[in-house]
Amino acid sequence: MSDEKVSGTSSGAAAGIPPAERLLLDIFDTVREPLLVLDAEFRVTRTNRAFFQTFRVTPEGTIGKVLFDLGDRQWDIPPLRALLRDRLVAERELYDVDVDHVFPAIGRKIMLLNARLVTHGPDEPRVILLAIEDVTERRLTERRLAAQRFELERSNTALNEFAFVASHDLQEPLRKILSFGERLGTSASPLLEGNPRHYLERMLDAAARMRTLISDLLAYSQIATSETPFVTTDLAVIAHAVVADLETTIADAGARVDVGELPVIEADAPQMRQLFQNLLANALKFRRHDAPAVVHVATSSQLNGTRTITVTDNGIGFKQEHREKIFRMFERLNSRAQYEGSGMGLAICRKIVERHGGTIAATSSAGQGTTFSVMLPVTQAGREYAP
Amino acid sequence: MMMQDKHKIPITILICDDDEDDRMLTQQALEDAHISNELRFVDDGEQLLDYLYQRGEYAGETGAAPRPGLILLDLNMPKLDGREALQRIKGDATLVDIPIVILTTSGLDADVIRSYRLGVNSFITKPVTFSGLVEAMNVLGKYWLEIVELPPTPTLV
Repeated sequence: MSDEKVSGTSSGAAAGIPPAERLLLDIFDTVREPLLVLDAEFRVTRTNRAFFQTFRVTPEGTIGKVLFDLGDRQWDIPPLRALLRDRLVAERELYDVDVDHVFPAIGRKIMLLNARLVTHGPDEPRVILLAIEDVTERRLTERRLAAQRFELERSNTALNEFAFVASHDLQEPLRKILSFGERLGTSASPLLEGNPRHYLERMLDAAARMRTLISDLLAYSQIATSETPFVTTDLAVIAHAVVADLETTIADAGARVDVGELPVIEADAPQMRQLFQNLLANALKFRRHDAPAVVHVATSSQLNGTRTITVTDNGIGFKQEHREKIFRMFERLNSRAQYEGSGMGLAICRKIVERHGGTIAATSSAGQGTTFSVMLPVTQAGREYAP
Repeated sequence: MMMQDKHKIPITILICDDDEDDRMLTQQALEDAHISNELRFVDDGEQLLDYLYQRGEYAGETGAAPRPGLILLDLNMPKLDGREALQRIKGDATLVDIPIVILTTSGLDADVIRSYRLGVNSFITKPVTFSGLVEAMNVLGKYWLEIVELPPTPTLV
Protein backbone atom coordinates (compact mmCIF):
# COMPACT_ATOMS: atom_id res chain seq x y z
CA MET A 1 0.00 0.00 0.00
CA SER A 2 1.10 3.51 -0.75
CA ASP A 3 1.25 6.09 1.96
CA GLU A 4 0.24 8.69 -0.58
CA LYS A 5 -3.18 10.25 -0.03
CA VAL A 6 -5.78 8.21 -1.72
CA SER A 7 -9.13 9.53 -2.92
CA GLY A 8 -12.29 7.58 -3.33
CA THR A 9 -15.01 8.64 -5.67
CA SER A 10 -16.44 12.10 -5.37
CA SER A 11 -18.99 10.95 -2.80
CA GLY A 12 -17.82 11.83 0.67
CA ALA A 13 -14.87 13.83 -0.65
CA ALA A 14 -16.73 17.06 -1.31
CA ALA A 15 -15.53 19.00 1.73
CA GLY A 16 -12.70 21.43 1.07
CA ILE A 17 -12.48 20.71 -2.64
CA PRO A 18 -12.47 23.84 -4.86
CA PRO A 19 -15.58 24.16 -7.11
CA ALA A 20 -13.64 23.70 -10.36
CA GLU A 21 -12.12 20.43 -9.16
CA ARG A 22 -15.46 19.28 -7.75
CA LEU A 23 -17.05 19.85 -11.14
CA LEU A 24 -14.33 17.76 -12.75
CA LEU A 25 -14.87 15.01 -10.21
CA ASP A 26 -18.60 15.05 -10.85
CA ILE A 27 -18.03 14.80 -14.59
CA PHE A 28 -15.57 11.97 -13.98
CA ASP A 29 -18.18 10.13 -11.97
CA THR A 30 -21.02 10.75 -14.41
CA VAL A 31 -19.27 9.34 -17.47
CA ARG A 32 -20.73 5.97 -18.41
CA GLU A 33 -17.39 4.45 -19.37
CA PRO A 34 -15.10 3.09 -16.69
CA LEU A 35 -12.24 5.54 -15.99
CA LEU A 36 -9.11 5.03 -13.91
CA VAL A 37 -6.40 7.32 -12.67
CA LEU A 38 -3.14 5.50 -11.89
CA ASP A 39 0.08 6.73 -10.42
CA ALA A 40 3.45 6.05 -12.00
CA GLU A 41 3.56 2.64 -10.28
CA PHE A 42 0.16 1.69 -11.74
CA ARG A 43 -1.60 2.07 -8.40
CA VAL A 44 -5.24 3.13 -8.69
CA THR A 45 -5.65 6.62 -7.20
CA ARG A 46 -9.15 7.25 -8.51
CA THR A 47 -11.92 5.48 -10.38
CA ASN A 48 -15.53 6.24 -11.20
CA ARG A 49 -18.81 4.48 -10.55
CA ALA A 50 -18.91 2.94 -13.98
CA PHE A 51 -15.69 1.07 -13.19
CA PHE A 52 -17.13 -0.50 -10.04
CA GLN A 53 -20.34 -1.39 -11.78
CA THR A 54 -18.79 -2.80 -14.93
CA PHE A 55 -16.22 -4.98 -13.19
CA ARG A 56 -18.32 -5.72 -10.09
CA VAL A 57 -15.68 -4.59 -7.62
CA THR A 58 -15.79 -2.40 -4.52
CA PRO A 59 -13.90 0.84 -3.81
CA GLU A 60 -12.18 -0.88 -0.83
CA GLY A 61 -10.75 -3.60 -3.04
CA THR A 62 -9.61 -1.14 -5.69
CA ILE A 63 -8.26 2.17 -4.51
CA GLY A 64 -4.58 2.13 -3.68
CA LYS A 65 -4.03 -1.28 -5.28
CA VAL A 66 -1.79 -1.89 -8.23
CA LEU A 67 -3.98 -2.31 -11.34
CA PHE A 68 -2.56 -5.73 -12.18
CA ASP A 69 -3.30 -7.05 -8.66
CA LEU A 70 -6.95 -5.99 -8.64
CA GLY A 71 -9.74 -8.52 -7.98
CA ASP A 72 -7.92 -11.88 -8.11
CA ARG A 73 -5.40 -10.39 -10.54
CA GLN A 74 -8.10 -10.27 -13.23
CA TRP A 75 -6.32 -7.28 -14.79
CA ASP A 76 -3.01 -9.08 -14.92
CA ILE A 77 -3.15 -9.33 -18.70
CA PRO A 78 0.29 -9.59 -20.38
CA PRO A 79 -0.62 -7.49 -23.43
CA LEU A 80 -2.06 -4.80 -21.13
CA ARG A 81 1.12 -4.79 -19.04
CA ALA A 82 3.18 -4.39 -22.18
CA LEU A 83 0.93 -1.61 -23.41
CA LEU A 84 1.09 0.42 -20.22
CA ARG A 85 4.71 -0.34 -19.29
CA ASP A 86 6.32 0.10 -22.71
CA ARG A 87 4.13 1.71 -25.33
CA LEU A 88 2.51 4.28 -23.10
CA VAL A 89 5.83 5.40 -21.65
CA ALA A 90 7.31 5.68 -25.12
CA GLU A 91 4.32 7.22 -26.89
CA ARG A 92 2.64 8.99 -23.92
CA GLU A 93 -0.77 8.30 -25.52
CA LEU A 94 -2.66 5.18 -26.55
CA TYR A 95 -5.66 5.49 -28.81
CA ASP A 96 -8.33 2.84 -29.24
CA VAL A 97 -6.44 -0.32 -28.38
CA ASP A 98 -8.56 -3.49 -28.13
CA VAL A 99 -7.82 -5.87 -25.24
CA ASP A 100 -9.60 -9.21 -25.54
CA HIS A 101 -9.67 -10.99 -22.18
CA VAL A 102 -11.68 -13.38 -20.05
CA PHE A 103 -12.49 -11.66 -16.77
CA PRO A 104 -13.35 -14.09 -13.95
CA ALA A 105 -16.32 -12.02 -12.75
CA ILE A 106 -17.84 -10.92 -16.03
CA GLY A 107 -16.54 -13.37 -18.64
CA ARG A 108 -14.93 -12.68 -21.96
CA LYS A 109 -14.87 -9.02 -22.83
CA ILE A 110 -13.27 -6.91 -25.50
CA MET A 111 -12.18 -3.65 -23.90
CA LEU A 112 -11.26 -0.58 -25.89
CA LEU A 113 -8.49 1.25 -24.08
CA ASN A 114 -7.48 4.87 -24.32
CA ALA A 115 -4.68 6.08 -22.08
CA ARG A 116 -2.57 9.16 -21.50
CA LEU A 117 0.57 9.70 -19.49
CA VAL A 118 0.29 13.11 -17.89
CA THR A 119 2.91 15.18 -16.07
CA HIS A 120 1.78 18.52 -14.70
CA GLY A 121 5.21 19.91 -13.89
CA PRO A 122 8.86 18.87 -13.70
CA ASP A 123 8.55 17.95 -10.03
CA GLU A 124 5.03 16.53 -10.20
CA PRO A 125 4.58 12.76 -10.30
CA ARG A 126 3.42 11.22 -13.52
CA VAL A 127 -0.24 10.24 -13.68
CA ILE A 128 -1.84 7.72 -16.00
CA LEU A 129 -5.39 8.33 -17.21
CA LEU A 130 -7.07 5.20 -18.47
CA ALA A 131 -10.49 5.01 -20.13
CA ILE A 132 -11.99 1.59 -20.67
CA GLU A 133 -14.92 0.98 -22.95
CA ASP A 134 -16.68 -2.36 -23.20
CA VAL A 135 -16.93 -2.90 -26.96
CA THR A 136 -17.64 -6.64 -26.78
CA GLU A 137 -21.08 -6.40 -28.40
CA ARG A 138 -19.88 -4.05 -31.09
CA ARG A 139 -16.82 -6.11 -31.96
CA LEU A 140 -18.77 -9.37 -32.05
CA THR A 141 -21.38 -7.77 -34.29
CA GLU A 142 -18.65 -6.40 -36.54
CA ARG A 143 -17.02 -9.82 -36.76
CA ARG A 144 -20.34 -11.50 -37.48
CA LEU A 145 -21.08 -8.97 -40.22
CA ALA A 146 -17.61 -9.37 -41.71
CA ALA A 147 -18.03 -13.16 -41.69
CA GLN A 148 -21.46 -12.86 -43.29
CA ARG A 149 -20.15 -10.50 -45.93
CA PHE A 150 -17.28 -12.81 -46.69
CA GLU A 151 -19.68 -15.75 -46.96
CA LEU A 152 -22.01 -13.73 -49.19
CA GLU A 153 -19.17 -12.71 -51.50
CA ARG A 154 -17.93 -16.29 -51.62
CA SER A 155 -21.33 -17.69 -52.47
CA ASN A 156 -21.90 -14.96 -55.06
CA THR A 157 -18.60 -15.81 -56.70
CA ALA A 158 -19.39 -19.51 -56.57
CA LEU A 159 -22.82 -18.89 -58.09
CA ASN A 160 -21.36 -16.82 -60.91
CA GLU A 161 -18.71 -19.44 -61.58
CA PHE A 162 -21.32 -22.16 -61.52
CA ALA A 163 -23.59 -20.31 -63.95
CA PHE A 164 -20.66 -19.63 -66.24
CA VAL A 165 -19.25 -23.17 -66.22
CA ALA A 166 -22.69 -24.77 -66.44
CA SER A 167 -23.82 -22.64 -69.35
CA HIS A 168 -20.47 -22.87 -71.11
CA ASP A 169 -20.24 -26.65 -70.76
CA LEU A 170 -23.90 -27.17 -71.63
CA GLN A 171 -23.32 -25.48 -74.97
CA GLU A 172 -20.99 -28.29 -76.05
CA PRO A 173 -23.37 -31.27 -76.16
CA LEU A 174 -26.13 -29.01 -77.41
CA ARG A 175 -24.06 -27.88 -80.36
CA LYS A 176 -23.59 -31.56 -81.26
CA ILE A 177 -27.30 -32.34 -80.94
CA LEU A 178 -27.98 -29.47 -83.33
CA SER A 179 -25.16 -30.37 -85.72
CA PHE A 180 -25.85 -34.11 -85.93
CA GLY A 181 -29.60 -33.45 -85.99
CA GLU A 182 -29.07 -31.18 -88.96
CA ARG A 183 -26.91 -33.84 -90.62
CA LEU A 184 -29.62 -36.41 -89.96
CA GLY A 185 -32.23 -34.14 -91.52
CA THR A 186 -30.07 -33.69 -94.61
CA SER A 187 -28.76 -37.23 -95.13
CA ALA A 188 -31.98 -39.06 -94.21
CA SER A 189 -34.09 -36.56 -96.07
CA PRO A 190 -35.61 -38.99 -98.61
CA LEU A 191 -36.60 -41.37 -95.80
CA LEU A 192 -38.02 -38.76 -93.47
CA GLU A 193 -41.58 -37.98 -94.39
CA GLY A 194 -44.63 -37.00 -92.39
CA ASN A 195 -44.38 -37.61 -88.67
CA PRO A 196 -40.68 -38.62 -88.45
CA ARG A 197 -39.66 -35.37 -90.17
CA HIS A 198 -42.02 -33.47 -87.92
CA TYR A 199 -40.47 -35.06 -84.79
CA LEU A 200 -36.97 -34.18 -85.91
CA GLU A 201 -37.97 -30.58 -86.61
CA ARG A 202 -39.55 -30.29 -83.18
CA MET A 203 -36.42 -31.73 -81.56
CA LEU A 204 -34.20 -29.27 -83.38
CA ASP A 205 -36.52 -26.36 -82.54
CA ALA A 206 -36.37 -27.32 -78.87
CA ALA A 207 -32.59 -27.66 -79.00
CA ALA A 208 -32.31 -24.23 -80.65
CA ARG A 209 -34.48 -22.72 -77.90
CA MET A 210 -32.30 -24.33 -75.28
CA ARG A 211 -29.29 -22.80 -76.95
CA THR A 212 -30.86 -19.35 -76.62
CA LEU A 213 -31.65 -20.02 -72.95
CA ILE A 214 -28.11 -21.13 -72.24
CA SER A 215 -26.43 -18.30 -74.08
CA ASP A 216 -28.66 -15.79 -72.29
CA LEU A 217 -27.81 -17.43 -68.97
CA LEU A 218 -24.15 -17.20 -69.91
CA ALA A 219 -24.57 -13.50 -70.74
CA TYR A 220 -26.35 -12.98 -67.42
CA SER A 221 -23.61 -14.70 -65.44
CA GLN A 222 -20.93 -12.63 -67.15
CA ILE A 223 -22.42 -9.25 -66.20
CA ALA A 224 -21.02 -9.21 -62.69
CA THR A 225 -17.56 -10.33 -63.76
CA SER A 226 -17.13 -7.90 -66.66
CA GLU A 227 -13.62 -6.50 -66.69
CA THR A 228 -14.50 -3.55 -68.88
CA PRO A 229 -13.70 -0.40 -66.89
CA PHE A 230 -16.34 2.23 -66.18
CA VAL A 231 -15.66 5.08 -68.59
CA THR A 232 -17.35 8.32 -69.56
CA THR A 233 -20.12 7.12 -71.84
CA ASP A 234 -22.49 9.18 -73.97
CA LEU A 235 -25.78 7.32 -73.74
CA ALA A 236 -27.12 9.20 -76.78
CA VAL A 237 -24.32 7.74 -78.93
CA ILE A 238 -25.09 4.27 -77.53
CA ALA A 239 -28.85 4.63 -78.10
CA HIS A 240 -28.37 5.80 -81.71
CA ALA A 241 -25.99 2.90 -82.39
CA VAL A 242 -28.57 0.45 -81.04
CA VAL A 243 -31.30 2.02 -83.17
CA ALA A 244 -29.01 1.59 -86.20
CA ASP A 245 -28.46 -2.09 -85.25
CA LEU A 246 -32.23 -2.59 -85.00
CA GLU A 247 -32.91 -0.83 -88.29
CA THR A 248 -34.34 -3.90 -90.02
CA THR A 249 -36.51 -4.84 -87.03
CA ILE A 250 -37.78 -1.27 -86.79
CA ALA A 251 -38.57 -1.18 -90.52
CA ASP A 252 -40.26 -4.60 -90.45
CA ALA A 253 -42.42 -3.51 -87.53
CA GLY A 254 -43.27 -0.22 -89.23
CA ALA A 255 -42.13 1.36 -85.99
CA ARG A 256 -40.70 4.74 -85.07
CA VAL A 257 -38.02 5.17 -82.39
CA ASP A 258 -37.30 8.71 -81.14
CA VAL A 259 -34.13 9.25 -79.16
CA GLY A 260 -34.20 12.51 -77.17
CA GLU A 261 -31.51 14.14 -75.05
CA LEU A 262 -29.57 11.54 -73.07
CA PRO A 263 -26.92 12.10 -70.41
CA VAL A 264 -23.21 11.35 -70.37
CA ILE A 265 -22.41 9.09 -67.41
CA GLU A 266 -19.66 6.78 -66.20
CA ALA A 267 -20.56 3.28 -67.24
CA ASP A 268 -19.51 -0.06 -68.68
CA ALA A 269 -20.16 0.93 -72.30
CA PRO A 270 -20.81 -2.56 -73.76
CA GLN A 271 -23.28 -3.22 -70.94
CA MET A 272 -25.08 0.08 -71.67
CA ARG A 273 -25.37 -1.03 -75.26
CA GLN A 274 -26.82 -4.36 -74.12
CA LEU A 275 -29.25 -2.50 -71.82
CA PHE A 276 -30.58 -0.25 -74.62
CA GLN A 277 -30.60 -3.17 -77.06
CA ASN A 278 -32.77 -5.23 -74.70
CA LEU A 279 -35.12 -2.38 -73.77
CA LEU A 280 -35.68 -1.27 -77.37
CA ALA A 281 -36.02 -4.83 -78.69
CA ASN A 282 -38.51 -5.45 -75.89
CA ALA A 283 -40.53 -2.35 -76.80
CA LEU A 284 -40.59 -3.38 -80.48
CA LYS A 285 -41.46 -6.99 -79.77
CA PHE A 286 -44.45 -6.32 -77.53
CA ARG A 287 -46.10 -3.88 -79.94
CA ARG A 288 -49.80 -3.75 -80.61
CA HIS A 289 -50.89 -5.10 -83.92
CA ASP A 290 -53.56 -2.50 -84.53
CA ALA A 291 -51.30 0.56 -84.38
CA PRO A 292 -47.75 1.37 -85.50
CA ALA A 293 -45.21 1.10 -82.68
CA VAL A 294 -43.80 4.39 -81.38
CA VAL A 295 -40.94 4.30 -78.86
CA HIS A 296 -39.53 7.33 -77.04
CA VAL A 297 -36.17 7.35 -75.29
CA ALA A 298 -35.64 10.39 -73.08
CA THR A 299 -34.17 11.76 -69.86
CA SER A 300 -36.91 12.28 -67.30
CA SER A 301 -35.07 13.60 -64.28
CA GLN A 302 -31.67 14.75 -63.01
CA LEU A 303 -31.45 14.48 -59.24
CA ASN A 304 -28.66 14.13 -56.67
CA GLY A 305 -26.00 12.95 -59.07
CA THR A 306 -28.34 10.51 -60.84
CA ARG A 307 -30.07 10.52 -64.22
CA THR A 308 -33.33 8.79 -65.00
CA ILE A 309 -33.82 7.58 -68.53
CA THR A 310 -37.22 6.44 -69.75
CA VAL A 311 -38.10 4.13 -72.60
CA THR A 312 -41.78 4.54 -73.38
CA ASP A 313 -43.77 2.47 -75.86
CA ASN A 314 -47.38 2.24 -76.99
CA GLY A 315 -47.36 -1.55 -76.95
CA ILE A 316 -49.49 -4.25 -75.36
CA GLY A 317 -48.36 -3.36 -71.82
CA PHE A 318 -48.92 -5.64 -68.85
CA LYS A 319 -50.92 -5.71 -65.65
CA GLN A 320 -49.34 -3.59 -62.93
CA GLU A 321 -49.24 -6.62 -60.60
CA HIS A 322 -46.59 -8.14 -62.89
CA ARG A 323 -44.23 -5.18 -62.68
CA GLU A 324 -41.68 -7.05 -60.55
CA LYS A 325 -42.16 -10.46 -62.12
CA ILE A 326 -41.00 -9.30 -65.55
CA PHE A 327 -37.46 -8.70 -64.21
CA ARG A 328 -37.03 -12.27 -62.97
CA MET A 329 -34.93 -14.82 -64.81
CA PHE A 330 -36.76 -16.94 -67.40
CA GLU A 331 -40.01 -15.15 -66.58
CA ARG A 332 -42.48 -14.76 -69.41
CA LEU A 333 -45.94 -13.21 -69.41
CA ASN A 334 -46.94 -14.38 -72.89
CA SER A 335 -46.99 -17.76 -74.58
CA ARG A 336 -44.04 -18.73 -76.72
CA ALA A 337 -46.33 -19.12 -79.71
CA GLN A 338 -47.23 -15.42 -79.48
CA TYR A 339 -43.83 -13.98 -78.56
CA GLU A 340 -40.49 -15.78 -78.91
CA GLY A 341 -37.87 -15.30 -76.25
CA SER A 342 -36.02 -16.74 -73.29
CA GLY A 343 -37.45 -14.45 -70.62
CA MET A 344 -33.93 -13.30 -69.78
CA GLY A 345 -33.84 -9.89 -71.48
CA LEU A 346 -35.18 -7.79 -68.64
CA ALA A 347 -33.36 -9.86 -65.98
CA ILE A 348 -30.16 -8.97 -67.81
CA CYS A 349 -31.23 -5.29 -67.86
CA ARG A 350 -31.83 -5.30 -64.11
CA LYS A 351 -28.51 -6.97 -63.39
CA ILE A 352 -26.64 -4.43 -65.54
CA VAL A 353 -28.40 -1.47 -63.91
CA GLU A 354 -27.81 -2.82 -60.40
CA ARG A 355 -24.14 -3.42 -61.15
CA HIS A 356 -23.96 0.30 -61.92
CA GLY A 357 -25.63 1.13 -58.58
CA GLY A 358 -28.91 2.12 -60.21
CA THR A 359 -32.51 0.93 -60.31
CA ILE A 360 -34.94 -0.08 -63.05
CA ALA A 361 -38.70 -0.14 -62.82
CA ALA A 362 -41.63 -0.45 -65.18
CA THR A 363 -45.09 1.10 -65.13
CA SER A 364 -47.84 -0.13 -67.38
CA SER A 365 -51.38 -1.30 -67.63
CA ALA A 366 -52.64 -3.83 -70.12
CA GLY A 367 -53.17 -2.29 -73.54
CA GLN A 368 -51.79 1.08 -72.45
CA GLY A 369 -48.13 0.85 -73.34
CA THR A 370 -45.20 0.62 -70.96
CA THR A 371 -42.60 2.98 -69.52
CA PHE A 372 -39.30 1.62 -68.27
CA SER A 373 -37.46 4.02 -65.95
CA VAL A 374 -33.74 3.47 -65.52
CA MET A 375 -32.07 5.49 -62.78
CA LEU A 376 -28.26 5.51 -63.03
CA PRO A 377 -25.60 7.37 -61.03
CA VAL A 378 -23.58 9.91 -63.01
CA THR A 379 -20.26 8.81 -61.52
CA GLN A 380 -18.99 5.46 -60.38
CA ALA A 381 -16.38 6.81 -57.93
CA GLY A 382 -15.24 3.98 -55.70
CA ARG A 383 -17.33 1.48 -57.63
CA GLU A 384 -14.64 0.39 -60.12
CA TYR A 385 -15.13 -3.26 -60.98
CA ALA A 386 -17.74 -3.51 -58.24
CA PRO A 387 -19.77 -6.69 -58.52
CA MET B 1 -7.81 -29.61 -104.97
CA MET B 2 -6.25 -26.64 -103.19
CA MET B 3 -2.58 -26.19 -103.97
CA GLN B 4 0.10 -24.81 -101.78
CA ASP B 5 2.51 -23.30 -104.26
CA LYS B 6 3.58 -23.13 -107.85
CA HIS B 7 4.68 -26.73 -107.75
CA LYS B 8 1.10 -27.79 -107.11
CA ILE B 9 1.78 -29.89 -104.09
CA PRO B 10 -1.45 -30.00 -102.08
CA ILE B 11 -0.95 -29.13 -98.45
CA THR B 12 -1.86 -31.33 -95.52
CA ILE B 13 -4.34 -29.89 -93.01
CA LEU B 14 -3.65 -30.98 -89.43
CA ILE B 15 -6.65 -30.90 -87.11
CA CYS B 16 -6.01 -30.91 -83.36
CA ASP B 17 -9.16 -31.57 -81.33
CA ASP B 18 -9.70 -33.86 -78.35
CA ASP B 19 -13.36 -34.45 -79.12
CA GLU B 20 -14.17 -37.29 -81.50
CA ASP B 21 -17.57 -35.84 -82.44
CA ASP B 22 -15.97 -32.53 -83.28
CA ARG B 23 -13.25 -34.17 -85.37
CA MET B 24 -15.99 -35.99 -87.30
CA LEU B 25 -18.04 -32.79 -87.76
CA THR B 26 -15.01 -30.80 -88.90
CA GLN B 27 -14.05 -33.54 -91.35
CA GLN B 28 -17.56 -33.71 -92.79
CA ALA B 29 -17.82 -29.93 -92.97
CA LEU B 30 -14.53 -29.81 -94.89
CA GLU B 31 -15.86 -32.50 -97.23
CA ASP B 32 -19.14 -30.64 -97.72
CA ALA B 33 -17.11 -27.52 -98.47
CA HIS B 34 -15.31 -29.54 -101.18
CA ILE B 35 -11.91 -29.31 -99.54
CA SER B 36 -10.23 -32.54 -100.51
CA ASN B 37 -6.78 -31.91 -99.07
CA GLU B 38 -5.19 -34.63 -96.98
CA LEU B 39 -6.47 -34.36 -93.41
CA ARG B 40 -4.53 -35.56 -90.38
CA PHE B 41 -5.89 -35.64 -86.85
CA VAL B 42 -4.27 -35.40 -83.42
CA ASP B 43 -6.06 -35.54 -80.05
CA ASP B 44 -4.25 -32.97 -77.90
CA GLY B 45 -1.34 -30.55 -77.68
CA GLU B 46 1.19 -33.21 -76.76
CA GLN B 47 0.28 -35.33 -79.76
CA LEU B 48 0.39 -32.22 -81.93
CA LEU B 49 3.96 -31.47 -80.86
CA ASP B 50 4.95 -35.13 -81.28
CA TYR B 51 3.54 -34.98 -84.81
CA LEU B 52 5.33 -31.74 -85.71
CA TYR B 53 8.65 -32.88 -84.25
CA GLN B 54 8.14 -36.38 -85.72
CA ARG B 55 8.83 -38.08 -82.44
CA GLY B 56 7.08 -40.69 -80.30
CA GLU B 57 4.45 -42.49 -82.38
CA TYR B 58 5.35 -40.22 -85.32
CA ALA B 59 9.07 -41.05 -85.30
CA GLY B 60 10.62 -42.63 -88.32
CA GLU B 61 9.61 -42.20 -91.91
CA THR B 62 8.25 -38.76 -92.81
CA GLY B 63 5.20 -40.27 -94.49
CA ALA B 64 3.78 -40.87 -91.00
CA ALA B 65 3.64 -37.15 -90.33
CA PRO B 66 3.85 -34.94 -93.41
CA ARG B 67 4.50 -31.33 -92.43
CA PRO B 68 1.12 -29.54 -92.40
CA GLY B 69 0.46 -26.41 -94.45
CA LEU B 70 -2.31 -25.39 -92.05
CA ILE B 71 -3.21 -26.33 -88.49
CA LEU B 72 -6.76 -26.13 -87.10
CA LEU B 73 -6.30 -25.98 -83.35
CA ASP B 74 -8.83 -26.38 -80.54
CA LEU B 75 -8.11 -24.52 -77.29
CA ASN B 76 -9.60 -26.60 -74.50
CA MET B 77 -7.91 -29.99 -74.48
CA PRO B 78 -6.48 -32.30 -71.83
CA LYS B 79 -2.74 -32.72 -71.18
CA LEU B 80 -1.27 -29.87 -73.20
CA ASP B 81 -4.02 -27.42 -74.19
CA GLY B 82 -4.21 -25.33 -77.34
CA ARG B 83 -2.89 -22.17 -75.70
CA GLU B 84 0.33 -23.84 -74.58
CA ALA B 85 0.74 -25.74 -77.84
CA LEU B 86 0.29 -22.46 -79.74
CA GLN B 87 2.94 -20.80 -77.60
CA ARG B 88 5.44 -23.61 -78.19
CA ILE B 89 4.89 -23.70 -81.95
CA LYS B 90 5.05 -19.93 -82.38
CA GLY B 91 8.16 -19.88 -80.19
CA ASP B 92 10.01 -22.37 -82.39
CA ALA B 93 11.80 -20.89 -85.42
CA THR B 94 11.37 -24.17 -87.36
CA LEU B 95 7.56 -24.23 -86.89
CA VAL B 96 6.60 -20.57 -86.64
CA ASP B 97 5.80 -20.27 -90.35
CA ILE B 98 2.96 -22.86 -90.27
CA PRO B 99 -0.33 -20.93 -90.26
CA ILE B 100 -2.51 -21.79 -87.27
CA VAL B 101 -6.25 -21.18 -87.11
CA ILE B 102 -7.93 -21.56 -83.72
CA LEU B 103 -11.23 -23.41 -84.08
CA THR B 104 -12.87 -23.52 -80.69
CA THR B 105 -16.14 -23.20 -78.81
CA SER B 106 -14.66 -20.46 -76.65
CA GLY B 107 -15.59 -16.98 -77.74
CA LEU B 108 -14.07 -15.42 -74.63
CA ASP B 109 -12.31 -12.11 -75.21
CA ALA B 110 -9.46 -13.29 -73.03
CA ASP B 111 -8.86 -16.33 -75.27
CA VAL B 112 -9.07 -14.30 -78.47
CA ILE B 113 -6.66 -11.64 -77.19
CA ARG B 114 -4.22 -14.16 -75.79
CA SER B 115 -4.21 -16.26 -78.97
CA TYR B 116 -3.40 -13.28 -81.18
CA ARG B 117 -0.70 -12.15 -78.75
CA LEU B 118 0.83 -15.59 -79.06
CA GLY B 119 0.87 -15.17 -82.84
CA VAL B 120 -2.15 -17.10 -84.06
CA ASN B 121 -3.11 -16.43 -87.68
CA SER B 122 -6.90 -16.52 -87.27
CA PHE B 123 -9.42 -17.25 -84.56
CA ILE B 124 -12.76 -18.88 -85.36
CA THR B 125 -15.47 -19.60 -82.80
CA LYS B 126 -17.14 -22.85 -83.87
CA PRO B 127 -20.52 -22.05 -85.40
CA VAL B 128 -23.39 -23.64 -83.53
CA THR B 129 -25.05 -25.22 -86.53
CA PHE B 130 -23.57 -27.67 -88.98
CA SER B 131 -24.45 -25.48 -91.96
CA GLY B 132 -22.64 -22.66 -90.18
CA LEU B 133 -19.59 -24.89 -89.80
CA VAL B 134 -19.69 -25.83 -93.50
CA GLU B 135 -19.89 -22.16 -94.39
CA ALA B 136 -16.92 -21.39 -92.12
CA MET B 137 -14.87 -24.20 -93.71
CA ASN B 138 -15.83 -22.89 -97.15
CA VAL B 139 -14.51 -19.42 -96.39
CA LEU B 140 -11.51 -20.84 -94.55
CA GLY B 141 -10.66 -23.05 -97.54
CA LYS B 142 -11.07 -20.21 -99.99
CA TYR B 143 -8.91 -17.91 -97.92
CA TRP B 144 -6.06 -20.16 -96.77
CA LEU B 145 -5.94 -22.47 -99.76
CA GLU B 146 -6.73 -20.13 -102.64
CA ILE B 147 -6.21 -16.48 -101.80
CA VAL B 148 -3.17 -16.29 -99.53
CA GLU B 149 0.37 -17.22 -100.44
CA LEU B 150 1.64 -19.79 -97.96
CA PRO B 151 5.34 -20.28 -97.28
CA PRO B 152 6.77 -23.13 -99.37
CA THR B 153 7.42 -26.28 -97.33
CA PRO B 154 10.98 -25.94 -96.03
CA THR B 155 13.45 -28.71 -96.62
CA LEU B 156 13.19 -31.01 -93.66
CA VAL B 157 15.93 -30.57 -91.11
